[in-house]
Amino acid sequence: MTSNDAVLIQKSKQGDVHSFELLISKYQVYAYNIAWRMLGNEEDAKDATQETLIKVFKGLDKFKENSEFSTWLYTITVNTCRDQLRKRKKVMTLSVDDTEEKVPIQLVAEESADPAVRLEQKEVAGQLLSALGKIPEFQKTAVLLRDVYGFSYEEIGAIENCSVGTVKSRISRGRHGLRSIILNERSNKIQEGGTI
Amino acid sequence: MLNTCSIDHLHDYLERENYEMEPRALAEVEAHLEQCSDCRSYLEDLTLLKGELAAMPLKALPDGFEEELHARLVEEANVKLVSKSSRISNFTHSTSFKVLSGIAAVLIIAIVVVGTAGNPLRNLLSKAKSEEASIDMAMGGAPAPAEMPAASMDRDGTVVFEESMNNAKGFGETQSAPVEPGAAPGSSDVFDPSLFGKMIIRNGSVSLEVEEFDTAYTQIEEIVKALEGYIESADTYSTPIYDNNGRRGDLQGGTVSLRIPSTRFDAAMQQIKTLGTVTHSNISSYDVTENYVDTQSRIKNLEARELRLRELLQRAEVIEDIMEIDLQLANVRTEIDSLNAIIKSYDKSLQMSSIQVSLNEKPLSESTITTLDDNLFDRMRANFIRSINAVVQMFQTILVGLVAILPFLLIFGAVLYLVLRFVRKFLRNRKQSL
Repeated sequence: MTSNDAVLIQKSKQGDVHSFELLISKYQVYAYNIAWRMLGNEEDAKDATQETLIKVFKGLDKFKENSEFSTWLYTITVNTCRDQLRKRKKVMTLSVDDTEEKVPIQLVAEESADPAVRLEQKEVAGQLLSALGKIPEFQKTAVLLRDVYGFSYEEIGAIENCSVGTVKSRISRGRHGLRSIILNERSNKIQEGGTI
Repeated sequence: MLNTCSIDHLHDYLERENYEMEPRALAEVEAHLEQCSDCRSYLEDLTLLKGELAAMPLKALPDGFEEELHARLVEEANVKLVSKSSRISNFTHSTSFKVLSGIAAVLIIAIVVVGTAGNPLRNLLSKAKSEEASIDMAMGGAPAPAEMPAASMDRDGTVVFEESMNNAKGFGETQSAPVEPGAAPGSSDVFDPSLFGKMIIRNGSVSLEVEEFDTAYTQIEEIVKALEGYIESADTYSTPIYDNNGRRGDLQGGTVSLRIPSTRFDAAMQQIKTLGTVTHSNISSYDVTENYVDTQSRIKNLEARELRLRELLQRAEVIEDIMEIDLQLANVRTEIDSLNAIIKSYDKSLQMSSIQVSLNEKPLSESTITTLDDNLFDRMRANFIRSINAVVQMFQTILVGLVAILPFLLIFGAVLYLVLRFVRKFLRNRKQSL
């Protein structure tokens, strides 16, 4: 945490809205984007981000100074989004339990019969968003945080309250799932007689 | 192709620039990649995926996001401030009352002295009074009611606000227009709190134990409706409870946040307290007069500046000047808007007091006679049999113990017999020799 952040946090704790707005100015776009990717639409993302930032402002007294403010803010973002998803009852996978974590990736069996089949940049760009919506929620969040927003394994572990091993496992499975989904889409199109 | 467990190594390999791999594992993966085209393809796919994910654009915050957030934060900040002041209000209340009483006494004496003194003093006083009135005109746009301070000096600050509210047009118990939730309370054409002396935000909280949650909640709804307030939020929960016989029941509870017109705050608190047994009650007051007047004067200054900037903009001819003035105008407008949001938030809190009501059901066992347990005789019989079994068990244990130590007893008995016999013989011999 920067010393600047520490000063702004102190002022924000005393109810200084301007300081708080300065403090979150660096992070709120990321929080909004995480919410947008997790929830899938702008309106819900806006509500979730506002709710998150209000929660952060109200709960600043509970924030431990020795931890990273941004991590704390993103943890609340992710949890708030999960609450919304639970309310919607549209969560694809409610939780990734230990048994799932230990299942090794079945590489070839679930995808195209030809292992030499490769992804193409054009189809990846076109199908990435819909494919992200089809992988389990915890894997999706881990992939988003790592590959889209560039968080470290350790940061993701702190946000998700899990070990680095679990984070790596979720990311591996998430990426693998994305690849399989995009390849399957292509094979389905071929079967339907369409072009790639 | 790598085996299924080693696929994770390919992901590690993908991240090798950020997270160094162990040299041995790195060498293994690289050696395998040279041989296995499937794994090379897979790795290239992962690289492509990672690249595309990283290239996903960041979405800008939606329009109005920051303004909306700002208004909500200001509201939260006020709530924070009120709760902080309520914590210290209990401590300072008695002290401030004493100080105010002292000032009031000094003023009364001063007025009496001035009243009986000659014209020079009276002229001086009237001059000072007219100056004060002109300052009020500049700040609030209207003179403060002249009789109000004298009438309110000897009373608590809270009462001052209520009285002044009652004197205000359209505000008091005679008010007939219902207060609409969410409407901007205290808009300037109806209510300008700065005209009425002290502005006190009053909030309260009550914790009640009630017989039935649903009945109490309905009664609260009726009270709120009658007092023209509204329920801001309600949160209910149920807690499992077990009676003496281990039977489970549920106790309902909840927290209800109410907004009640400030003028009816006391009535609301009194009526709510009659709904059950009061376990906790708290009233907090927060004086926002200074902040309110300060914010208002800042808005007035900024509006005057905005007007001057607009005049300058009309006269400006050079593009650079126009852009500079335009930028300054935008900044001034943003500041005015944020200060107006603060005023609105104050108005809302001033006009509508907030009351938090916690409702908890009493455990039923306190109000009902416990019925005879259906299984009473079964339990008696079971316990009796258990006692008999315990007695039998005890005798069995003693018997087993006795048998177990029998060999030791025999040896010990034999040794004891021999010793006693020897001693007796020794004593007899000694007696005979004497």
